[in-house]
Amino acid sequence: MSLMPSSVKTYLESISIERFKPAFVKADPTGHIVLVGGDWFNLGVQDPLPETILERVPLLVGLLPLQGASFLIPDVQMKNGRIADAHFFHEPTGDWVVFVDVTPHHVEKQQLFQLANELQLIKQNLGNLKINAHGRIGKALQQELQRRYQDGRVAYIAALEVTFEIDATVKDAETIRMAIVSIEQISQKIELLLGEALAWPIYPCPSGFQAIFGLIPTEKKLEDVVQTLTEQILALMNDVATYFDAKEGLRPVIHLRGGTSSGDAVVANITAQAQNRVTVLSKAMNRAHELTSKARPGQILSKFLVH
Amino acid sequence: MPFHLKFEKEKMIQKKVCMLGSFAVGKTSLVKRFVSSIFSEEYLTTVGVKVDKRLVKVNETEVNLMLWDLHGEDEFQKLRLSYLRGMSGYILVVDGTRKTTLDRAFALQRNTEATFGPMPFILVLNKADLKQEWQIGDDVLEGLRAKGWLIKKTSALTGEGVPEMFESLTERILIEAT
Repeated sequence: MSLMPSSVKTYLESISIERFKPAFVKADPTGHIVLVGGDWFNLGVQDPLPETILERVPLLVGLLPLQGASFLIPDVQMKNGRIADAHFFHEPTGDWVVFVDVTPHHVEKQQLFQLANELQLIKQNLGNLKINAHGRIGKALQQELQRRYQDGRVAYIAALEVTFEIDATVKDAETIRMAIVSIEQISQKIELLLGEALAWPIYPCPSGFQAIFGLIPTEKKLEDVVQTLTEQILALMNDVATYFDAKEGLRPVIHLRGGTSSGDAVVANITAQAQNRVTVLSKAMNRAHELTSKARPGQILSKFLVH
Repeated sequence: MPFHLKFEKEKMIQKKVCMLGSFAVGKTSLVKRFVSSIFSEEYLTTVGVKVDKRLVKVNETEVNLMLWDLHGEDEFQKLRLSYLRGMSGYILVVDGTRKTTLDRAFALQRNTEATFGPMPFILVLNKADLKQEWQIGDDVLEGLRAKGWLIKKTSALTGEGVPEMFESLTERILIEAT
């Protein structure tokens, strides 16, 4: 870094300042604040001065004087709602610098944990349902479950994630190319998951819905393939709806939609932990996913390449 | 600022208190109820920490409580101990309708005490408004009280027991400090 030309250093510094909006406080070993600087305004702190900063940044109360090694307090919600990381750096002089910068990816993190926790709650509530299975299910509990299932998003994501767990017998890429993952198999997987009521490992998906894929024999006519696959997806949608219908009062509002495409794919088991989990890498897969995201609820969009 | 006001301000006792517990037990709701007197039905996961403050008066002593509302601990998010540095006491929040949250509270208490040593804390059984659905019996609570645990029942929804709970902990903190 020291060999870097000063113009580059200045450029990098300006980018960092723009991106992270840093602010800092310097305290001596007794905890007395000797210097305040940076973009405190961006963090909702007005007129920061050494004598006012403790009052305006409650994060620091109780921490000064600091001792020990440098440490980090991540994801601190500031007064104005901004999220920042607070780094506590121990200087060689014995002084401490509290450096606060904007947390990257906080929104994504929040969404991910929200999904994960909602899923956990459903799992725990379903546990309660099982406990009460031989007696009468409490009305309040039932209402609670209905409320939690209202958008059905989390359970649906988990269900679709499991559709990727294809039988271990179809590991060989050449075999898979010729294989058909039938609607029955996919339905069974979904039913298995939902039947076991989320006792399954959790795979929260922050981007929302996962694409379902089908593997189509190449010798069929393209029109047949489109027809077959569309029928399969419609049948799958129907199966999922029927499944929830059978669960009295637990039907979530789910927006089912589909996207289909064709092309070569690399299919392999590349995970060490879940031996039956298969990963599919393909442009066609991405295209199907993209089409799914563009489809309206109940709609299936298709795009097939002519080989 | 007039000198006497400045002097009073400097004398103000400030204490850091951390809200600990599993996710969705009502930590954020309790703080909101206490600080802003509001309650929201919507569950919004806390990521990281939000620091709020509220003045509490115990036996003529005013204490500015710095309330660290921390994210809930679960299998996805482990509590980072750096959040707890400098605290004077903590609140273990449990959802009375989910027994697993009590087990999580026990684990948090053990870890906290092992790292920071004994300090004042209070066990709070939240969601008292859903008492008919509680999975935690009074026998369990009596056992804990016999061990010297301070236990309170609260409802962030109705506000029941919320100010008393914060005041009880503050009192313990002040006793400990003297």
